[in-house]
Amino acid sequence: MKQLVEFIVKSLVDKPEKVQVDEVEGEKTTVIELRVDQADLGKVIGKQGRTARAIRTILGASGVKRGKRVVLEILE
Amino acid sequence: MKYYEIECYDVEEGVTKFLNENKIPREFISFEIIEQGSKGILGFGKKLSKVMIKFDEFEYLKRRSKVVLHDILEKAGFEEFQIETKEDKPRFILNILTPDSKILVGKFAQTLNAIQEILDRILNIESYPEIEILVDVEGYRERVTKHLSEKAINAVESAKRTGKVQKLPPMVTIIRKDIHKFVNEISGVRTESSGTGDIKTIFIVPDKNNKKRGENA
Repeated sequence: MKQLVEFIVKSLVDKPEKVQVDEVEGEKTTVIELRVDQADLGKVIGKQGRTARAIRTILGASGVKRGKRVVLEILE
Repeated sequence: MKYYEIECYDVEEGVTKFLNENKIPREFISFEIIEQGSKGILGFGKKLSKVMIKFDEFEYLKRRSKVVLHDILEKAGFEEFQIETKEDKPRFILNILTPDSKILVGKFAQTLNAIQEILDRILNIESYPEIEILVDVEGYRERVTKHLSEKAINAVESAKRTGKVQKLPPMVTIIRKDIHKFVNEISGVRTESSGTGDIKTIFIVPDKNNKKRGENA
């Protein structure tokens, strides 16, 4: 899960070295905390939140495959 | 094919710098020197060389899209899949063959839509307006687009006959885009969509004056 977010986000941003992904694993739910450079925030969120929503949807599918619920939190 | 012209004193250095700045692998370009410059003697008579760089963006996007899609699927935990590609320049279709097709298409095709969205962003597809890189899962997109196009034809007929706005079923962005395009090629009607988020509904609006609009048939 962490790897997936890391891969997608690093491919999108200008400063991949500033991308930080933390995974907090619960029993049924995994929370993924994402931090990026302030200037890259727009790239990760996208127009009307489209990119962020797409990342969440793909994570959801990945969760279905693995039998887990995943929540993505984008932190500033 | 995309062409760039750069100016530099040292051709090799200039080309390398260009490739690094634009994140293009060398194997997708070729270049020729249009104007030979000079490094000068003791700083005198220095003249820039003009170099024309030819970038095969289609080949580049073909390769890159397949690698990125493969990585996304693998990192998402999908193991059994194959990516079948179909080239129909300027279109390139990546069809995912997998027993997990149900998950990858998702409810209302939202997952497929999301994969396309992310791939578009990663490839920065807006920079290549004439190229289309399409993701599909077991030919789903093709099937649904065909089915909905047929529905759209019926709705267009009704709209023209009754003069009333017709509604199509809700669709995700990737499918809606194709249906919009399809309907707008038919004269006498235009499309509008409403809704928020990924899924919107298309309305087929008949023209008040069919003759005026008929010219873009």
